[in-house]
Amino acid sequence: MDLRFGAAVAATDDERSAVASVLGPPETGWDGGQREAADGHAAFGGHSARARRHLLLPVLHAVQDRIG
Amino acid sequence: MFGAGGGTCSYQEAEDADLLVLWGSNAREAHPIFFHHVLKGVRRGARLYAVDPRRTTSAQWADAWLGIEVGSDISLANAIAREIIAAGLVNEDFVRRATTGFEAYAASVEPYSLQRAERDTGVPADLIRRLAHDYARADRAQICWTLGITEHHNAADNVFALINLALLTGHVGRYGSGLVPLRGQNNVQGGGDMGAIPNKLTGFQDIETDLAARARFEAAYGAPVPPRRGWHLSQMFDAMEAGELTACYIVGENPVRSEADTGRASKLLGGLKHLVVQDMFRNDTAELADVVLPATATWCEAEGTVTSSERRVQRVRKALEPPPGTRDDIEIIFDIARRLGTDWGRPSAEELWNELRTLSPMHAGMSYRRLEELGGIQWPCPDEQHPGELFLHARLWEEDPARRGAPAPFTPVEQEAPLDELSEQFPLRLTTGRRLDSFNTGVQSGQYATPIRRPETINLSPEDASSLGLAEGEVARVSSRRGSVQAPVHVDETLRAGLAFMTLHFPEQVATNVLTLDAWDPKSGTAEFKATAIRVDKPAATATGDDESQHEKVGA
Repeated sequence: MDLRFGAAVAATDDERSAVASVLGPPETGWDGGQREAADGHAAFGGHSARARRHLLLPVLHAVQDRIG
Repeated sequence: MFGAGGGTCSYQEAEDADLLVLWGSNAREAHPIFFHHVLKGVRRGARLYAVDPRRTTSAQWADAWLGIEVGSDISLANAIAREIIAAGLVNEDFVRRATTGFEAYAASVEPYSLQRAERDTGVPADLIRRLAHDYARADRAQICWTLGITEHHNAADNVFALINLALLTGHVGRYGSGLVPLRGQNNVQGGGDMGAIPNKLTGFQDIETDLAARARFEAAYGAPVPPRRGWHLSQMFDAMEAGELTACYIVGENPVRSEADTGRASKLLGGLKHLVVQDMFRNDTAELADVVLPATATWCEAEGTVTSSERRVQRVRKALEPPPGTRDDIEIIFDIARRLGTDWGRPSAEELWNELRTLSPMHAGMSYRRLEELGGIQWPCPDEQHPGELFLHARLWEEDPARRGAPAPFTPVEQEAPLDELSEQFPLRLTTGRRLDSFNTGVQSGQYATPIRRPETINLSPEDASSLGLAEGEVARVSSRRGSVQAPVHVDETLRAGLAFMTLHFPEQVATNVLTLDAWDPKSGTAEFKATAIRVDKPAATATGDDESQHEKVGA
């Protein structure tokens, strides 16, 4: 698995699928989904996003399991 | 606010608040010290809302970001007020005892339904409603703002709209609740406190209506104080244009680069009969000057004070010997007085401060010794036993009407669109702002390297960059009704289609303020830096990229 920081190289479908297997499908353009016009006027995060930090390692493991 | 030009809260209160609203404030980059306090509050459980056209690095910390259209702040604030009233969440005791004008205010916000606000701001009505309810129901809530509120042609009305919300909910005059105007530049608070505003003497004593204060100054100085307010900066440029202002003495400011519509500003400054510039750097304004007075760096080569956005006066100490040929600001000003025939002696910074304390009641208790001992003191501090005020306007909560004093007025305000209208020729909205690594026109911060600095860019949404056929790093031509510059493109996912962003930090590379509009708010004198109509094109193949081509005028 390669770690890529920044948006210059997009995640592959396999990588996205692996992340979604843990977090569920992305709900907005801000969390990896299709960028929609509504994303330009509202976003949610903060406490609710940080409450999912414990999922970071499971997500990394899921990506590693899928991609190698 | 309510008679004094300062925020009502202390920074530490952000740590104990239940809800914080950053409104037109990218505090993480523009006020990193304050933002540390915000983060402490967030880690203790405070909910954070961000209201900003861009999803800034501050907004990325927020529980919810309201990405409003540029200049739609009043529509949003009035809709929040209307919802608070409709939901029965008004702090009725506070409104009845401590305010005036509620009925007229309630009537004025009635047309601002959530649906209208959604149309004006682009923010979903449900989210506006959620902010309204969370703000009104919070025990301790603050609204914090910066230049996103004040750099508009209706800046004062924007501020009134936010003050109205605090009055409606009683979120003022109590620990943890309040209104926090984060100042646009270092020591703006101190400058205003010292009387560097056209209508106030030192300590916010009104030059036209406070006759006793004026008499005190006249007695102390042995000279009359003009009984009329002076010009603010925007009026000075209008006066230059009218031929009424022909000489200017500029201290620590670079208006050739920092003014909106710098083409006009440069022309007017260049046309003065006499221009004096006193600065620690030979900036672009100094290049136009008849006389340049090299000054020391006041933050490390001179003694004095500085005042933060929480009204805290702090000592500044001389840590370094200044370079040869530079002089302390006090020395320069007093030497000029001497050459004009008035010998004011050679006072130290502390002696001048003590003179000020005799004239400004809110600073009277702030001796240098106490400023050292207490790590700074927040005004007002009327005597040497007083610790300074952690927060202002506690009087509004007093039961006794005599102790409560004058009530705080609601001020109805109406939504107005930005003056620089979008059109077919100029279809994009440019908003300007700051970055963490740089300060204003870069005169000071451009002198050192930092690994996080990157050159100026025209930031475009992925959608706009794609539709314009512009790629990351490609040079684009950016034009407004006042001029044109060239800048590399940065594709910025924090922007939505139709919104663009630039800073003013790198005028040698890109003179951003060639583009901006110098229409100003008649109440505050602030120009509308935040809302410029632009178009972005691929530059003509013949463009050379030199300075002349970057600043050309468009014939609009």
